[in-house]
Amino acid sequence: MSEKKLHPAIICRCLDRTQEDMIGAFHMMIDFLGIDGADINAFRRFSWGTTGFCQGRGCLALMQRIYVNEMRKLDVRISPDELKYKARSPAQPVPLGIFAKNNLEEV
Amino acid sequence: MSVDRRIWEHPVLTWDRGEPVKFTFDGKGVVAYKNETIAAALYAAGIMSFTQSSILHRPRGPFCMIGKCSQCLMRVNGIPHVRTCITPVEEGMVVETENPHESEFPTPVSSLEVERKTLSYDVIIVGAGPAGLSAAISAAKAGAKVAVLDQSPYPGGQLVKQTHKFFGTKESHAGTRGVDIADVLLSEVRDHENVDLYPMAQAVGYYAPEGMLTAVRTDGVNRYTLLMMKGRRYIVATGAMERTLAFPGNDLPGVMGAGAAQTLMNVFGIRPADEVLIIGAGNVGVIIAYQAAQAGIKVKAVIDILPKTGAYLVHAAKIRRMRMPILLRHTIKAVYGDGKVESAEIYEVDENFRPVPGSEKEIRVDGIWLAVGLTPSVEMLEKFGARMKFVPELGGYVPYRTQYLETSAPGVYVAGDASGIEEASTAIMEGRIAGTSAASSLGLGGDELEEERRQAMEWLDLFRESPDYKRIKQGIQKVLMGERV
Amino acid sequence: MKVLVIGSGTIGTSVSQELADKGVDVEIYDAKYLGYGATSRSLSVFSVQQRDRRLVKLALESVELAKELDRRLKEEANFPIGIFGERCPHVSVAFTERDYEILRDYSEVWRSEGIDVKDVSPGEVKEELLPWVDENSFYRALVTYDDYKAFTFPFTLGRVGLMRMKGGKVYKYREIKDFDTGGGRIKAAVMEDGHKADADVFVVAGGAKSREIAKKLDDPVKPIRVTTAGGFCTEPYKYLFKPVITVESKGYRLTQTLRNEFAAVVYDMGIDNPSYDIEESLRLLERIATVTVKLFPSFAYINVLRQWGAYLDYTDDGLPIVGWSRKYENLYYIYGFNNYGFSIGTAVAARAAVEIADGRRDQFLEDFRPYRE
Ligand SMILES: Cc1cc2nc3c(=O)[nH]c(=O)nc-3n(C[C@H](O)[C@H](O)[C@H](O)COP(=O)(O)OP(=O)(O)OC[C@H]3O[C@@H](n4cnc5c(N)ncnc54)[C@H](O)[C@@H]3O)c2cc1C
Repeated sequence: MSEKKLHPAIICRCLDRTQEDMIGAFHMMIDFLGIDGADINAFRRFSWGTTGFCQGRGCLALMQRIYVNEMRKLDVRISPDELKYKARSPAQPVPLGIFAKNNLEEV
Repeated sequence: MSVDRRIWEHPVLTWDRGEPVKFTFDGKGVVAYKNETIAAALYAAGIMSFTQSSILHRPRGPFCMIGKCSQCLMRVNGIPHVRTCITPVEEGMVVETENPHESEFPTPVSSLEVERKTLSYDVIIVGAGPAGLSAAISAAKAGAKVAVLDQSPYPGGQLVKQTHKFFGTKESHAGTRGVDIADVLLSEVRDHENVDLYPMAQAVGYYAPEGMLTAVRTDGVNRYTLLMMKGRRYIVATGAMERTLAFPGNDLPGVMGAGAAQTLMNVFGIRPADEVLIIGAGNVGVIIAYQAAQAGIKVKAVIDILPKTGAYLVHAAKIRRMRMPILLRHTIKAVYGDGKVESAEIYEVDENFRPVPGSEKEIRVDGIWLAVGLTPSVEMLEKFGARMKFVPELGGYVPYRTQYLETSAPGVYVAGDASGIEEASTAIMEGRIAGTSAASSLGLGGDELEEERRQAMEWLDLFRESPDYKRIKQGIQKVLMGERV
Repeated sequence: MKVLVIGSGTIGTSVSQELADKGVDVEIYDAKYLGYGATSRSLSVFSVQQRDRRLVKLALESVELAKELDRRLKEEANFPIGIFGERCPHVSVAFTERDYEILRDYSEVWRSEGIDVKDVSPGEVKEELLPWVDENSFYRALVTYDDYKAFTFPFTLGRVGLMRMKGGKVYKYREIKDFDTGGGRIKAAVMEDGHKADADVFVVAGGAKSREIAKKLDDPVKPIRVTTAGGFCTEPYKYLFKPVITVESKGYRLTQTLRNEFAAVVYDMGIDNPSYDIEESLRLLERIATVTVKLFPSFAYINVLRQWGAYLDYTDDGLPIVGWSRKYENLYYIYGFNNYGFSIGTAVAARAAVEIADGRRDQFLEDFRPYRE
């Protein structure tokens, strides 16, 4: 094989977070909050995952997997039901003008 | 000479592409057809790299083709962040690439036009796949006023992308091609005057304080319709989302979900690649391999990490006969290429899924399609406040439901893959159960409706008798609730 | 000394970190995940545009404390990004002459604390600060130049990190349901599963829900009003929009965040929220969209990415509730931070930590006591 560039494995395409970045963010979360303070929301906040253009559709499942795997390394078992994160509206990014009314008095 | 990746000859499909239209892409002229989206037209012209990623400045191309993955964002007529894969082309459009994280504020050439509609229905169905359409037909027969919303311009859900014949029972249209089943269901829906079908309408939220479902229809880059809908009952039939995988190079243009490849090939008649590696030898992977061959694409291999294929044997045998290698116990190591997919490295694993040393192989391909499973699309159910549980047998988080498919949110039903990953036949039957139940809970219909529901439940049970369904049945038990009062 | 803090919002984490710095043994408990309440829904602007002189003073003090926190997070905890942005203009927009008169009264308060205020026409706003604004859309504006934008999460979660470096502890999903009391003291906080945590001092920093705690303890503190609020965040765009925009008459505020997104909020939808609902609502989306598009027509094309609901704790005199309980000698209240938990709360929490750790009374906090009329 000719010399080839090994690309990163991307977890979050929107904000360009690689697998390494995500694992790094996980451990930073543990350093800052400890296991007792950590949860999927904190992981989102330390990694910025789920906050980009795709609203988490590309990354959430991969992040959940990283979360479970890294926690297991710390001897903590996580049930998937703890990892449910409720996606917010709108379910698709929409131009804000769609919701604008004509008159300020109406709102 | 300009590149044209459109498929002009196909054994099964034909496309109504519409009149040619011209637009510019980064200043250069592109010829497209009226019924194409911007992304489809660009792909047809051989353009694979659609954006620069925000921080690492990596080239990216469409991954989902249904407006979700955000890898096709461009500036169109001065409007940043346009999802080009779901935006129709228009004559004279100015399309430009940009780093979406650093895009300039909007400099629109025309102002936003919004038509607001406030509507009420007996039953509102989100999703016009086999489940949603069947639900609509059943509820409509009972006399309910029904709305069906779908984000896609082509209602029919996954069926639209299926060129193969289905098996199963007569009641679930066995022996008919997926696309044709969609047509049958659609024409039946259209026969009912009390059903309004809203294609290209994306449900964006359910607002509990107002009791309002909102949906947005994109009629063009600057034209939208806002639907504000109140339903007495809701049926969520939003289907499934594709899973992804993390491996080096997983973001290179040319790597895409199987659904995106199907959309390009079967909906738009565009060859997404010339030579592909398909990851996942379940039903989707195997069927898409067959479809690739129909589209004149060479399938270099279909690989699966499991020791046996999850696909129906008929399908697997068919592609083996066509000499497409199905490599079991194989997985992907990395994808290489400069700006786009050029090759893939795969390796074999042992029974503990550990790499077998020295088994690495390099395959030259320009497309990698991921068919690594589906997970239920449950966002709308969450917005309705339905209680969810993670059930691996059903593919992910799914709602608790009664035998009549009502969720823990009163008046909100679920049907099809959104209730757990199964297939079109079961989706059709679940759709009927949800549709009849929603109508009957409104006091509509009579004995005939009861009979239809009874039959659908019986067929569903019968269908699930097959040993393949043992796991799924176990999964359903975990989220089955007693009847609501 | 051991202190148990109820609530991990910006107030709970600020008090805790300040206490940990003084060598106090601290534990934070939150009913939900860290920062769940108003804090994670906040715009976290540090604003001097307050309605009371005392609050303007505290706002200036908060800015200095936040800068210090930013420095410490980088130096002591290797935090990779800054959590406190640059000084930015704050444009308060008046749609009508009447709105303008009200704003002018507030601006006298700002001026009296030495804040530079400019009274500008729409044309000047467009020329000098906001080229995207429709100059026909509003009457006049008042501009100050001493506000700052902060990163909400690193600000609170970063503090937790500093606190833990000093031995503090934090527990998520542990709601304090009840208390063991006796002899005019709180002996232990009791959780749902019956688990008890004892401490020498208990600090109530439960935001709006603090009133439930006071009720449980039958402590007649000043009532608060809990209102429905919320906001939304858009996709990111090039960072060009530096000012913070406020429309007081609509309870509206907008800015481009340090993450390049636009975030816009409404503080008070005029709806009381007895159940602490955080449901997303259509009317909130409509209000924010309408005001935004009115001022910035081309922003109609900016995409909303996610919205959220919120609740806020208001007092009728607009001042927070800070100080020792009269009923239980080791119970300290700190909540009622209206829409200024970051702006004012940062300084108040630091002062409260001194009161709690040293037992000294801070004269400046006397006007905020829990039993005032
Ligand atoms: C939309 C919006 C925008 C805002 N913008 C700004 C701004 O720009 N600048 C600014 O300065 N301020 C702003 N604010 C106000 C600011 O966010 C709040 O004042 C501040 O966050 C209040 O912090 P807190 O710690 O008092 O309360 P909260 O953040 O509400 O924290 C209280 C915590 O206590 C927990 N809790 C409650 N009861 C219990 C119990 N019994 N047991 C355990 N835990 C319990 C809750 O779960 C919660 O996490 C904004 C607020 C909103 C909603």
